[in-house]
Amino acid sequence: MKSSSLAGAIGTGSASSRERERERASASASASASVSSIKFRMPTKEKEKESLIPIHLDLDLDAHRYKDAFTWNPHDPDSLVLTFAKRTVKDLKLPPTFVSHISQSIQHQLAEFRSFGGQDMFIHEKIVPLKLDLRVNNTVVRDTFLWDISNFESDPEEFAVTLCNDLDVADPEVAPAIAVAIREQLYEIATQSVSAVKEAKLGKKGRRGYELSKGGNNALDVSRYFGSKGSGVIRKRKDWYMNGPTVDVLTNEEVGTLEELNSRFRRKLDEKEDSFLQG
Amino acid sequence: MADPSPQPPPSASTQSPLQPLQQLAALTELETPSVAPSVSKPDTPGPTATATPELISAPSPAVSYTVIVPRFSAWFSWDEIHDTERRLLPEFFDGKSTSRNPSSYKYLRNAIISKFRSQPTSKLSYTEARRGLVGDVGSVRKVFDFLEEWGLINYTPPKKGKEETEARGALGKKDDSSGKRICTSCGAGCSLQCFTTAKANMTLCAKCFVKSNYQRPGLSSADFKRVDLLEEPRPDWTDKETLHLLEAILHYGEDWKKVTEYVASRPVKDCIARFVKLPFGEQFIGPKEEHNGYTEQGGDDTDENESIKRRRLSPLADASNPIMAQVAFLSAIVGPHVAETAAQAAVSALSNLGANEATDLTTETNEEHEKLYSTPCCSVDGCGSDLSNCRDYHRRHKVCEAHSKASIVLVGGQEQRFCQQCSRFHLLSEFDGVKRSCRNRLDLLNFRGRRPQSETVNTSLSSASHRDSAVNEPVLSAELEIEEEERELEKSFSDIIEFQMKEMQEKLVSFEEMDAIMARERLQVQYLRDLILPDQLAIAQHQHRLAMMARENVSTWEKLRSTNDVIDRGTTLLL
Repeated sequence: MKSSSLAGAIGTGSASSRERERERASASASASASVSSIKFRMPTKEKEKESLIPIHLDLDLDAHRYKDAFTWNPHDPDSLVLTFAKRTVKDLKLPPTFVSHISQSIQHQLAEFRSFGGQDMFIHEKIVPLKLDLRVNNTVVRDTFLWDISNFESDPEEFAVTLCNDLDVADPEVAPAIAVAIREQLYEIATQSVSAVKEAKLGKKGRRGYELSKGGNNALDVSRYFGSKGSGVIRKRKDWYMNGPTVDVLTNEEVGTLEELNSRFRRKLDEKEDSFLQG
Repeated sequence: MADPSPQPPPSASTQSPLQPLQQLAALTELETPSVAPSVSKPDTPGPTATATPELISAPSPAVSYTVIVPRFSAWFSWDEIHDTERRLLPEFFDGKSTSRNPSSYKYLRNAIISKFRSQPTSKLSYTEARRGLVGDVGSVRKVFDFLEEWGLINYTPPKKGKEETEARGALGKKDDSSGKRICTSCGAGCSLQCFTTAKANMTLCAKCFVKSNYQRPGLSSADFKRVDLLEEPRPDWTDKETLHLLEAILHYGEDWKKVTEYVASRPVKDCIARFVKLPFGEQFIGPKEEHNGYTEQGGDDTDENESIKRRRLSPLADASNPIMAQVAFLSAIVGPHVAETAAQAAVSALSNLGANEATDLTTETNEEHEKLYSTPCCSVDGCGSDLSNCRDYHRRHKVCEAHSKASIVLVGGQEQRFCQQCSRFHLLSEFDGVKRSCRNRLDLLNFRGRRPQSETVNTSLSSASHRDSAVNEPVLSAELEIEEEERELEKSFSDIIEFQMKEMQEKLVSFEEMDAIMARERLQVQYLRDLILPDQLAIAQHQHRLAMMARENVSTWEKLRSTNDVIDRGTTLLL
């Protein structure tokens, strides 16, 4: 993919050729050792031991639905899980069966995160497009932007707060949702890079495989994004409309219809799954 | 945002955190609203100020409120971080963690406090707070706990005298947990019924509920509970009112309007409810001649009687048989007279039932009824022993215990023996040896293994219920079997139908699959056809071109030939 795109882009900027050379150099050196491999962590600004991870909860028992997403510090004592679950159930007046489900779900996700700890992952200069598409109460936010994975000083929280302030988002619950969404995507990328390392170490694909997996799906040839002819910072005009943030505030009825459509869709999917399994 | 620094903060801050709890008693100064300006936070310059300028929250009404903070937290300032905070939440300030640092702490603290102050009357829950904050929930929790402990949020000062009530009156205008209910969306008072949801602490009047005008879009109509306000709790009935009520009922019977008028203070429903709830209501009216004193004593006696009842109830209720316990309970509730008449009626009904089943035994049942109730004595000649102390069996069959086991007795002048199977006396010739059962009966038992029934129809001495049950038994069992068979038939029918339906459904499903597969194949074929099309076109073109070329060739060939001919002719001419 890379070579074809390079071939297609006539008059590419110097950046791409530099990149090409660098890739080739690192590839030729060796499969694993020379590339900067670091221990698994969230590529954000916290110190290594303290990556904050996104936790996602979606429980549906006894006709009570509880959907939530928030950031968790895995270094908090595990007793906090149970306290948190009890507090949440009490505050939201959910039936007490939720306590065990919530704490189990949180611990499961924590354990998953911890199972990655200590493994290697590759972080190159990868610029990754992140997408936001979420609805919080009445506000719908849609955005696509590029994020530098290798920048370990990045802070999703700050980004979220700034975004909300700049776009004059009235609802304070939007900012944490954005931060969690960003963290989730970063977490995905981090785990994928860990599995890429594993594949490379297996050695089946050899050098070629290493190159390909390193190229990966996420990293994009930056030059393709931006306009050619030197002004390597500004996007191509036709891409402008796709990449800006949009914030919509819905009225309550629209929210209601959206939820109805969602639930109907979900039900149809479940039915299709069931019929698949049966037939 | 200048801090007027009212109290002497340096002295307050030097107190250790443990002392403030003891100093809670010394908070009297704080509660008076007149001293409010000195205590309240910089954002409320005076007691009549409206919502703070920095809080853009619209929902708080234009009701003035003062923020009350306990004295031990008077060091709090919006812009700075105090030593107390540094001491108690060290993890934010020691630099070990990048996510927990002073600026994030300040952001969290200020955000939580401003969120609470936008609705100071309702308690801010942890979940609500963390929902709107960017940050990991552990940090939010720590800050939240800290603030709550130090009274900076969710703090309501303890009740103390009338100054307190003034402050509370100012604060509690929109308290929706007691008193009149006000709809949170339209602000109208709810009179008839309202709908509350616990999830968002909202109360809606009926109109808003129907319009689905929920404030938060995450709610649905299922979250709301209906509360009828007509059933507001009334103060308890006093003895006087109960007395009035009872007198009125005595006079007016069941005319509730007049009763209500007499009682004067209660509406009709309340009167009726109260009357029904009175434990001895019926007994008051019924045997009122005997219990004249009750109406005057009123409440005390009812309690006493209840306790007496309970005492009487206990021995019967202890019966291990649950049915007996229930019967005892019911009879105690209903009263002795009613219980007795009910029991008699039940017994007579049972006996009548038996009589209806076996019509040829009606006369005998009457006889036996008399016999049952008459004083029993042994039927052996010369033995008139009273059987009242014997078992039921002996009483029924009019034989004393001794004679039931005796080998020979004289009954009606004849030598007979009491057969234990038939429960009557047979001639001695019917017995084999010293057996206690007659021959016929034994034969039947040994060969058939079932209780012989034909005999019982003809005998005339056993009690009504015994014989009736023997007669009824075959009939009943036959009926039961018939019912069972019917049920089984129905069940098998429904099973068959179910299976056939399943079959049909499966066939339909498989047909649908086939359809889907066919459609897919059709699409594929079309696709292939589409692929082939350009090739076909190309071939056609080729052919066309070839044809053209061929024609051209032919024409050129013709031309060549014609020119050749011409040349030939020319040469021949020349030659």
